[in-house]
Amino acid sequence: MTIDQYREQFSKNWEEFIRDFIETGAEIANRNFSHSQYDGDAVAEVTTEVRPDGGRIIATGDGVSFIEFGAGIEAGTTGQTPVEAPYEIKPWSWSETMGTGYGAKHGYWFHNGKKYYSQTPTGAMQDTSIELQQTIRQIAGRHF
Amino acid sequence: MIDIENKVLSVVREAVLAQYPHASVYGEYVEVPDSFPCVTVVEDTNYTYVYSKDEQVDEHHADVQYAVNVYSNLKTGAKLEARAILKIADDAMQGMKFWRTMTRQVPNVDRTIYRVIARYHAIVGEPKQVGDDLVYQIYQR
Repeated sequence: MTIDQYREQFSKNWEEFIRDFIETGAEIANRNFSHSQYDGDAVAEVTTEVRPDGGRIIATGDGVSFIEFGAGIEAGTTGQTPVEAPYEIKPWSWSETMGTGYGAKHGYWFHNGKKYYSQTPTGAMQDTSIELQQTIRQIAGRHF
Repeated sequence: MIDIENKVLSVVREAVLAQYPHASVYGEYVEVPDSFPCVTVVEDTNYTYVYSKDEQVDEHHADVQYAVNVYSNLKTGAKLEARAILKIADDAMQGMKFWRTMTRQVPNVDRTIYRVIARYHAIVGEPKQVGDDLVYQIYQR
């Protein structure tokens, strides 16, 4: 094999490695989102971008931030007075068809008529990056 | 298992309370804090750094990731307060040789509260006994 042939082959292998790496990551991310505790709807869509110099795994959807980072906290009765809520806080009988609000004592909230559950973070994308770091040698071994 | 969570929490808590004595600082996620501003410092992951395992499969280093959440419910200036507290926490984390992998404002279940999150990463060595204390070495990549 000449140097030029080697360079050409290496370039092809590199592109295949990047594509495999990103697609493997997307599979892991899809699995992680499907295992996350949420409201059961399809809340995350995972897409990929593959470029010659790298790629991206992108998760989009209404629930992505809450799955990844958790729902956060609520204002209690102590401490500084919270700002006025920009929406009306409804009791337990809140209708799912209504707009934005939250049932603070019942572990869920609504946004644009959709119901979301309060939750701790599950780090679906963070776990994806960790698993990719641990499997990168295996993936590379398939192409080099 | 290499476990530094309490030590990390202590360092960040001390730094935050020095400037915000009425803040509440937790080592776990809470639904309703005792007071505001509120900070949570939680170890998200801790797994064996496989490249330094020996033949006995002993763990010599751990790969750890932390999430720092800062919440403010000020009527005005919530963002400024949250960012100021995050800077204090960040100085404490970077002082321990963690590196920050992201910072961003994220939505909060109660939208009257401003929330910002930062994630940190480090490789931690097994502890060495120094006097009465266990001392951990943290490595930056």
